[in-house]
Amino acid sequence: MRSNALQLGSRTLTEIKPGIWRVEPQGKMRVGVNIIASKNLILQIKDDKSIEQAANVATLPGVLDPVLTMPDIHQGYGFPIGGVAAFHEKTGVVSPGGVGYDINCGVRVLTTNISVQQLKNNKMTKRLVSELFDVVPCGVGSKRKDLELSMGQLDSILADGASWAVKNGFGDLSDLDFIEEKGRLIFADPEKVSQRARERGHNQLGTLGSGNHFLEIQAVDTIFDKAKALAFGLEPDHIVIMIHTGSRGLGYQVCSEYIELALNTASKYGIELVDRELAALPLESVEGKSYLGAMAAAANFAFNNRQIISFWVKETFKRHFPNIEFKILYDICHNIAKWEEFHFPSHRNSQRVCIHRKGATRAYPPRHPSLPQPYLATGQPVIVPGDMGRFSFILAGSANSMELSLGSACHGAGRELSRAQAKKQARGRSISRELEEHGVFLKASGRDTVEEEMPEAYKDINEVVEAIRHAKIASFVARLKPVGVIKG
Amino acid sequence: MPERKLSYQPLDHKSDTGFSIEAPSLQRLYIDAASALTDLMVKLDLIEENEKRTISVEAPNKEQLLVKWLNEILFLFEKDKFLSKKIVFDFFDGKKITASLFGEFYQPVRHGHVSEIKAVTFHQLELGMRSEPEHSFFAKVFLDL
Repeated sequence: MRSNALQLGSRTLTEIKPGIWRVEPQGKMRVGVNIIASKNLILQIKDDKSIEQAANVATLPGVLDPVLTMPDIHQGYGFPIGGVAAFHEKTGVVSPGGVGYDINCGVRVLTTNISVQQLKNNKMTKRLVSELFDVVPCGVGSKRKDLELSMGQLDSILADGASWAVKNGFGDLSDLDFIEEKGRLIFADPEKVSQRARERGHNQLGTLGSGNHFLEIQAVDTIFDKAKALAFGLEPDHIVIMIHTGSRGLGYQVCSEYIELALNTASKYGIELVDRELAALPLESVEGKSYLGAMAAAANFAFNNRQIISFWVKETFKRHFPNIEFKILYDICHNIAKWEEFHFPSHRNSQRVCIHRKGATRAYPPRHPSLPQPYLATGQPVIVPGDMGRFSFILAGSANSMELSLGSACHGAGRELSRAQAKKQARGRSISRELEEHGVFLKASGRDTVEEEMPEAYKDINEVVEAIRHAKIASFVARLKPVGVIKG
Repeated sequence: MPERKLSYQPLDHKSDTGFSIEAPSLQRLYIDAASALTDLMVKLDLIEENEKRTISVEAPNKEQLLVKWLNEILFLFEKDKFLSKKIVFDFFDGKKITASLFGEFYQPVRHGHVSEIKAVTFHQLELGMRSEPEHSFFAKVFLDL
């Protein structure tokens, strides 16, 4: 076999560009799959079903070449986690499972003007972690008693996105420029969000949730690109805040209901179900439009969620550091379907497509018109959270990201161990004490979550981001190290 | 029906979890699956029966009915913090369930921490019948965490 080819079962992967491996269409696949990964990362997933899942996505109607997978790919439901696929606006489909249950799960980073030394000198880290844990509801059933929403307010949240939060005092108008899609998917249709989804979610605005969601205080540990770091407001040793959460129960309910609808309408629309979690709705159908409207409304809920949590974080820090300044570096979605434009080699003009990013992040290049002015020269900030003990990365979208990866990059480190394996490895250990010995204070509502989310449960993020850099999709800007972690 | 101990096996999945379950009848399989789902959140032994809820779900086939039924159990927990301990089917025909659930509301101090379950999925869902070694029904269910 040639050195730039790998055989995984019946599939041959050929390295077509540095760090980009191609699986040509076979069987029912309509298009090929491009896998962005190092050889070692591919070998790590050879025994799970993630590449099969990407091949299944490539069988869906109206899918455009190529389906992509990111270096943090792992087996998901229907779509692999780390999967990206674009669909033709007329002939394509939208897959509720391809967006996932946590609609617009995403990450936001806030930069500050205080240093990690200022925190440590005042022995403030532990105290702030504790206060943030009390201020930001996390874990099942927790909520802020001072944020009761009427159903009318919920409608505005679903329609208006983060601008609702800004209008209601949670932040500044300028914040919106630093949120993907300015914090609002304009095709949201609140009427398409069921009463049950509303009942499930309306008490959960401003809550973190549990599982892999988190709120972290991090320090800028390494700067790789001084000019871009400056443009991003990242200075050595300065504190940043990272928030990872999504649309909570409202999004889960929207997804469950529309997967059911997609299953029930599959035969009507002649959509073959290679995997029930991949059930899809034609973009042009009444049901497809309805899902897009509901999904976008749930995404708008998630933008509000991160905006409101940010406000409470700022209030908490300001009590101790009255002169602290916060800026949103960026807020990005990593479970989403939305309308974007790309040039495909098969088409002369740019195409408006419905792009699905399931566990993948947008990574637009410099000069892309949807970027805010400060990032036109640098490319979009790409936030890649790592595990809670090691590092997270800030990258910048590279010039060719649109052609190479449909303007997409990885969304995290990706799990290495299953939750059960992680718990087994954590037996007899205190993960929070181990973290504290490495300078990371942790407060969590449950021990199980801490064990399941321990650092070794995740792949080495260095290898994941290196694969993105090697494929020339995004460049390194800075590395962040956690000092305080809040988990649900 | 005589009391029998709930028996299910947790299933390992890279990013999520699941369970497999076996029961002597299809009806019992649905009931036990709901109890297994609850037990993954709060140990059944800790739940008391002092509240009642009635729910009804319908679906075009047995698999979709199982997922919808279990999602309803999750919905009740997330919306009202209701945990069911004992379940009685008032109606069941493989496409529709009407059930009375007896249990109580979640109390963090007494019931302990709960890891959030986002949804019951169709991922590698199995539901079937065995005739050996004895007549029984089985299911495998994966959950999104």
